[in-house]
Amino acid sequence: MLKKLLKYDLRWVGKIIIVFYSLGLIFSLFALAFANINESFFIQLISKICAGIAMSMVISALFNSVLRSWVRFIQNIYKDESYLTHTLPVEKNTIFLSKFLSAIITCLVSLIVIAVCVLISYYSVDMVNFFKMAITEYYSLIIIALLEIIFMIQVGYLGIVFGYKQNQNKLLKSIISSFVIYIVLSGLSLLLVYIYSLIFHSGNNIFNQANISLANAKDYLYFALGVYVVYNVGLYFACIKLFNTGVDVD
Amino acid sequence: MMLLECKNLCKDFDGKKVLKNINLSIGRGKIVGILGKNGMGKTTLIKLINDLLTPTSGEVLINGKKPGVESKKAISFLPERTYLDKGMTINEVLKFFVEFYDNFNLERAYKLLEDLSLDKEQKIIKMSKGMQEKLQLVLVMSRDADLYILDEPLGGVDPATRDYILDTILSNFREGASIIITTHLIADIERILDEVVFIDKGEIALVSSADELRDKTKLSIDEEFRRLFKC
Repeated sequence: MLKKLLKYDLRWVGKIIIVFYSLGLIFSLFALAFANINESFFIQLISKICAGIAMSMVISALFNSVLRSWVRFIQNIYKDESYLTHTLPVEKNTIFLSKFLSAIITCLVSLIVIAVCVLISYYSVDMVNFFKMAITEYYSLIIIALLEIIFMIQVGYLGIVFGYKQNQNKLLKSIISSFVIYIVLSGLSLLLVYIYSLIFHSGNNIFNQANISLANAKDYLYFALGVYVVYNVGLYFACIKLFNTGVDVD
Repeated sequence: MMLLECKNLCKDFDGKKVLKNINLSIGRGKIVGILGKNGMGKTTLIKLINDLLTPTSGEVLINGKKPGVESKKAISFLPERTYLDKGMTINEVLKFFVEFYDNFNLERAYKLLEDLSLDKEQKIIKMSKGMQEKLQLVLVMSRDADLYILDEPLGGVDPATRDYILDTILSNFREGASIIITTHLIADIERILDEVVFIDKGEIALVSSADELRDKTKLSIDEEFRRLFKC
């Protein structure tokens, strides 16, 4: 059943985002093509404009992936379409997991498309080397970025589940709950990293340094990675637990 | 074992009691009308049976089990509102129902859709609200369910469409299955009812066999309802 639900969720989210992906890739190719015609100012300007449009398209795709995952969640779980969702012979856990996975998949694909568009638009040997270095040296930073996006998505879901447990001003209460949860947990993660630095890096504390090298920050990145993993697992189970107590559709 | 049982079922919204201590049992092979004025709790009761609301207290049992995957296989529900993804075509919706409901009868659905002369490639968003409601009725009645729950199926439709809806219901439900119909348009459906449940102010005011009620009061169900709940 998960596979079936996931197919429909991905199709719904994807049918708009694919337009952004396509435009992003097309303008990236334009940018690359113009960049290689000649060195004239006008042609290079067109190349830069195309690259700019490509970047705005793919970044919009990423924002859209997150926003549409929340919209889909509200429509499917609490609005008109919920009358179908909740009468399907499917476990509540599976319904939630499908929404969660579809959001992760679309965000991951969006990040990949962003990387591909950057690589095409600004293609050069230096850029290729930068990507190689990013993958080998900064992979923990890339994973943290992905975990941060998943964290944001889940905070949104938890806020929505909280908000829609109320009988009035559900959307407003969802937004406020999400915002409060995000701020509190983000503040807490910063505090945890600070405590970690006091305990394990008292002589080499990044909170006291003007310039931070990757070598110095590596341990912190791994620690932050651990914090995000714990957050995401905790948030997932909190959402499931709250969701399984039942819903009150509009 | 009863097909549906509600035991001491209560639902509050912000402290306001919308349903109060509902006890109700529905057996197999019955057409039951849940009748009441607007805002008396009919839809709330239906939503609780379909797991769309969480009871404040009490429980709902379908075939002896709490609402879950098995109960959802057994119930075919027609809500008041349009619940389909409007970006889908009729064919896509049919495919969706085939994928999710093992008891969906595609041949029956095609036959019913033929009667409506609907183009299966048409998107739902391009259909009138009335047509969307008819499509939903076709989808609901194309399932071989144990219990069909139809929430206000006659609300806001013209008399000719009411006849179409009632005919579709009566000629397509599975033998041995039960039907629950909620409505305030009692005169239109009383001819098909086996049992009636009157709901007033969130409480069950009366449960009776339709024939017994008519014999006892010498009135039609509609007349008896008007007499009991006169404003």
